[in-house]
Amino acid sequence: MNSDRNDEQLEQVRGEIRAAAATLRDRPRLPSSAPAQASGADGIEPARRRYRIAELTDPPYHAFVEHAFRALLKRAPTAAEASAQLDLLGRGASKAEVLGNLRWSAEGRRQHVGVAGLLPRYIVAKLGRVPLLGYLVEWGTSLAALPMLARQLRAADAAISAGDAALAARLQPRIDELRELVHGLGLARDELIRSVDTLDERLRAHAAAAEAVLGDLARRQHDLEGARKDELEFVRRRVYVMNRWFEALQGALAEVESAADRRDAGAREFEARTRDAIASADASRVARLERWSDALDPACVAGARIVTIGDDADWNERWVSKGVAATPLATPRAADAAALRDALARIEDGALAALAVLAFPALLRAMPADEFVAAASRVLRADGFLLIGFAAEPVLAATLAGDAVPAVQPAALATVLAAAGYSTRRVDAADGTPALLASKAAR
Amino acid sequence: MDASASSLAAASGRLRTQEADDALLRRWQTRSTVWAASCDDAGVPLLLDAFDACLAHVDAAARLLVLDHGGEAVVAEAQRRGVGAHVEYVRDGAGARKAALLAADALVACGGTVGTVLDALAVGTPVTGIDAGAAAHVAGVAALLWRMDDSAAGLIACTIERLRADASLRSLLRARGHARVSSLGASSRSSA
Repeated sequence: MNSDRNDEQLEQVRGEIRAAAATLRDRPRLPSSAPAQASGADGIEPARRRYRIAELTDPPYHAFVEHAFRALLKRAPTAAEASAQLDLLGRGASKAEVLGNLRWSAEGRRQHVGVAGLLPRYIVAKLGRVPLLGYLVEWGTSLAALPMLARQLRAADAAISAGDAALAARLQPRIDELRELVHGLGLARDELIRSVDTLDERLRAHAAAAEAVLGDLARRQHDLEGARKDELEFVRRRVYVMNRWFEALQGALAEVESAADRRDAGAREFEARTRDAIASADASRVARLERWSDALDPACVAGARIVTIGDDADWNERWVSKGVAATPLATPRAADAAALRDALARIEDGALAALAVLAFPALLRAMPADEFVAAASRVLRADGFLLIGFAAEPVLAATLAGDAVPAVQPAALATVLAAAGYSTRRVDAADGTPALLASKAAR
Repeated sequence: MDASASSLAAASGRLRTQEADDALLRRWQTRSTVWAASCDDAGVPLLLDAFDACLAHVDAAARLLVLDHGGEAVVAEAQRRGVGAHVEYVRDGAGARKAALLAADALVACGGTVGTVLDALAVGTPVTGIDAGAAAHVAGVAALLWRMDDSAAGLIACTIERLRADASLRSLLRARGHARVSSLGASSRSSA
């Protein structure tokens, strides 16, 4: 609100000023006049042409130079000019000499300002600059002026004393303020010292507490390192003991495996000898193999491949004599399952004209029936035969060697083969040994 | 020389300097109109037109104190116009400038420098002139500024005449000047 009022006032003033300006040219023209001179000033004006020397010499220092320029040259001094004149005063020149220099300079002569009493003083001052003569003149003037100098000295002493008293009166309040300030600063300093002492005590207490904590931590660290070393030693000993134990176990296992291998080799040898003995005593074996090879003849022509699982050298020789490539795979024991799978896996897909197993129950020790049928389906040609016999001599030999041989009926196996897509027919031997001839081709 | 004697000597030096500035102030403070002026080259003709109008129709004994660099051009032009005796170039230091501002009825800003306008606002000297340039922008509402046209010279002369006669207007502009300086100082501190 106040600001709005001020703005309104200013706008009103602006309007009145515009109105006054519009009529300004209509006012009567004023007669020319010199610039106004200050009333009650120091009496030195630019337009003034006459001075008494005391008017110019009374002001001190800066003011003296300023007044001298304005009075004698009618202008203010430049900074360089004022500095030069002040330097002159500083080197002991009299004010009369400075005034004379200005008055009788080229510029001063153009202004032609009169200063009563200046010329003789200036001449004396300049004579004082002449070698030897100046010295005598200085002496003379100084001697002549001694009474006046003494009087001025007394006056100056009185003035200085008065000035000192006045200055002391002016400075005393400031001195008192400074003393109070110093007192206050002293109090503040004492308070600060107390604060610093308090802070120092707190910091020392904190430092002591921190040192105690650090000592405790160091002790704990030392204890932990000791405990860790003990634990490491314990673990190292345990690892060493376990290593020795594992070495012993490894040796025991090697001995067990060696004993098992020896036992297995003995069992295999016994089984083979028993099988060969039973086979050589079996008078119907030749007729039985004859019957089964005849069943395979349609597929096993010269150049064909047949694989037989079983240790039946006379069977394989029979095929070789016919020009068929016969490959025997030994009758597997339970431990030979991996070897049998590997051997079957190495036969190419659809490469065999026939796959024969003369004693199927003995095969079951190493491979289940469904896995064997699946392998046979892969390796047989489309028109190939799968002969599965149930000869008794390998089964008897295995049983006598202590190896359990699972019992299986031909009819049950025929069911498994039918489920796998085979058609089967019985090709039993004349002595009644059963056998199945399976094929996927339509008969 | 101990510290107290040194301080006493320094104080004595300051007193003597102040004494010289006071002498200038006494010389410039008259019952006639006193202008302080801050102008650039383009503002010289307008400034002297306004001062001529003042001498011719308001106060024949008026005095013009030119503060900024370039005051020689103003003095030369004033002498060419025959009013050189009324014009003075204040080329001394800050003390003389301050004395001129204290002695003047107003500062006339015709362009000129920002620092001179700020000094005038700070010491309470009213500011008038032309509403153009950075100096006028700094003065803002604390100054009585006019558009630069044919009537500007008469408006400036009449503004100073009004300021000499109107104490309430002087106090209003003085208060606004102090507020303006304070706000400018606060904004410069916040931007720093």
